Amino acid sequence: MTSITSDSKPDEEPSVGESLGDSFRQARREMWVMVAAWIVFFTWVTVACARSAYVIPEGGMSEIPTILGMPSWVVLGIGLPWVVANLFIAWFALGFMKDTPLPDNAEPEASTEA
Amino acid sequence: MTLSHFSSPLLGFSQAAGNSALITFAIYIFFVFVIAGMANRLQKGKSFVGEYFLGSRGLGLWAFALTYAATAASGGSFMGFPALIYTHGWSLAWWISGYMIVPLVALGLFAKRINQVGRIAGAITVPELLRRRFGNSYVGNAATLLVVFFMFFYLLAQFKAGAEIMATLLDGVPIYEAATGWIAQAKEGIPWVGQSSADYLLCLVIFAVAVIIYTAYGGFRAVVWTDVMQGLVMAVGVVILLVLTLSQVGGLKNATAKLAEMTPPEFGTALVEVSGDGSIADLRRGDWIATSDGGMARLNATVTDSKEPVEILLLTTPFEIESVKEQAIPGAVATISEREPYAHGAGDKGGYLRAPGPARTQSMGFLPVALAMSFFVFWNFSGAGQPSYMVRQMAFRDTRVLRRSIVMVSVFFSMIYFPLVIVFTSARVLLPGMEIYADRIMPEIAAHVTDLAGVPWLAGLLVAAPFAAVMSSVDSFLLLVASGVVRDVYQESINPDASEERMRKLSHAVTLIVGFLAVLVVLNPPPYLQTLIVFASGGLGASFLMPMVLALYWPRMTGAGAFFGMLTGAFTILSLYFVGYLERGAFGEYNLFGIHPIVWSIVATGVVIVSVSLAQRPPDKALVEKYFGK
Repeated sequence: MTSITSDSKPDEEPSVGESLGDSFRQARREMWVMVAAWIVFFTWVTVACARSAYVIPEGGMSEIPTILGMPSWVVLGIGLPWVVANLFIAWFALGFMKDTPLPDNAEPEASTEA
Repeated sequence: MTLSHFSSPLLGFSQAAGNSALITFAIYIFFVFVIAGMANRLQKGKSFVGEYFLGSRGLGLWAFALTYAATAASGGSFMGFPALIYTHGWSLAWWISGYMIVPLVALGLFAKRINQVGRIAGAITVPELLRRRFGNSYVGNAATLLVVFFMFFYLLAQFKAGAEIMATLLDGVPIYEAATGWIAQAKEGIPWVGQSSADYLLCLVIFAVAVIIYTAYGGFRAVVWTDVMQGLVMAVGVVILLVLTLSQVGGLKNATAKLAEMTPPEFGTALVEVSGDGSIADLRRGDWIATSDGGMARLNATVTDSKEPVEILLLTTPFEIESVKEQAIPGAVATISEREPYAHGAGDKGGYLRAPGPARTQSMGFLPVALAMSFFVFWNFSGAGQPSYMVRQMAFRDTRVLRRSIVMVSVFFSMIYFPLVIVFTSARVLLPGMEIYADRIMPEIAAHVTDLAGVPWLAGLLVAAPFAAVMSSVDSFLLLVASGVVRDVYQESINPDASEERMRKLSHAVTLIVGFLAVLVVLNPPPYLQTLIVFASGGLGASFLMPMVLALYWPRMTGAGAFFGMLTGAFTILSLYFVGYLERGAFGEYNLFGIHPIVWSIVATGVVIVSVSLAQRPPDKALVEKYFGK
């Protein structure tokens, strides 16, 4: 029967950091780029929409500025970042991410084409 | 001539559309079973559990990308989400905007590492992965419990959505109407079953039997292949719906101009009288009735007595009132006794074009800034934290598949979510008064635009899109719950030496039993579909996001940190829903300081995991070397 703390070994000192594998380091680099991208798009959408989505034009809503027939805050605050996000994702996945060999399964399982 | 001759179809399709929808559905189900049969044949000669629950980790580009995307686009995407767009307008574009970056966050955060760690651990399920990563059975058991608990709520919501779509799909089809009549008589007097309506009961049973059988028979690979087909149906369906809707509404510019004139409707009560040949008994929920002050009201309940006030929806926009006048029941007049204007946006022209959007009960409007920000976090991180997505990330063949899939999923989400906002803001203009049936706006608009375009048969394909979305989610969740019971409870704790044959039989049996239990509970479904979905996905995200992120990226994390972290996430979200229930007297979340519970849960979970882990000795060196080493 294990205990909740069964993975901690009181007699061993930490050795984390020295022996990290290359594939782990690469995955971690990619994670930080992903986090940075999320912050950028979150900020873009929040600032753009918070500044303009709640505004009532002086002449009433019939004078709301539009782009491509949609309210302009939607296009500039959501549509445009959405397009840029797609372009960034394509660059990230096809240009920045590195292929990493995946380990063999710990259990024997045949691999098949889906 | 009685009133019923004038009643507009309550909902659903014309006879031609209904028949074509039935044919579409039959063809669709036929292919689903063919796929399940093929998947079942592939199981032969392979490790049963690995193939049945994880497809032998061999998914290619189309299979991985579309099973991921189709599972994400659940019944909520095609039922609850359209209902919200219709009810609150363009502010939903901001509400859903987090999806622009979901493919990167969800797949970028987990996919590569979870696949690596899953292979090293030989794990087939998420609880199993956590158990082996920490060498700690408490972690695995807690994860199994949480998956089964929250996923069951998710299943309920999806079963309900599937039955409702099907009811709309089959409405008016003679054989269906006859069967409904027979069931109405047969169910009388049966406890619990007798309380559900006959049409819902029939549709629920047909839907559930189809999904449960093909999932139990074909396993993960059948689910993945049907997801591919369902994903394609969704994308094509939304594109066709977008084109037809924009064409009917006269273009986006025209839709925006109309929305600028629109004011939210009012709910209320009225006394209804009928003169001439008609009778009160012929009036149905959904009928339009002229009001004594020249307006138009829609019945929100069945009228039983002309002296009893009945719930109504009142239109307040002049062009909407004009547009439904020809649908008014002749001779029927409603005298308004009570009006309930929206708490936010009442009488406010153009509120549907801007944030926060009109809201019936929230005085701050539908989407204050803090809540909008919360949802950007919610879709990304709650989505990333779903075990049903994580398990798919353990199944792709190699990282080349992953990289190309991230691009494909981002294109898929872009084709679905933003166009849906355009479609259902336009639907406001085309179909007034749908607030009383908001959850059914998707099939209704499909029927409406195809009818007007002279292609009613196309409605079958369009309605297949949400149906596909629901099916692709139900099958995934069903399998996830079954894997939790069979692999994580039975094989791990009760019988580690179970034979392949025994595991096969047990997997089939558990899938059937879980499905049956879900159907039994949802016979009388809870009313809040979208709320239930947000609760379940929030609970799973709260319980698994931070534990899994840190398990994959922080070697210093301990099993106790993971255990208490998961419990903290679940406890936080349950507490904030409990407070929400106390506050509003109905099931719903409590947004502390205007921020969604998922955000509080993520913060609390992260703090607990880090604190508990740092308070302990570092984890076993061998364990760290195994999962993070060279």
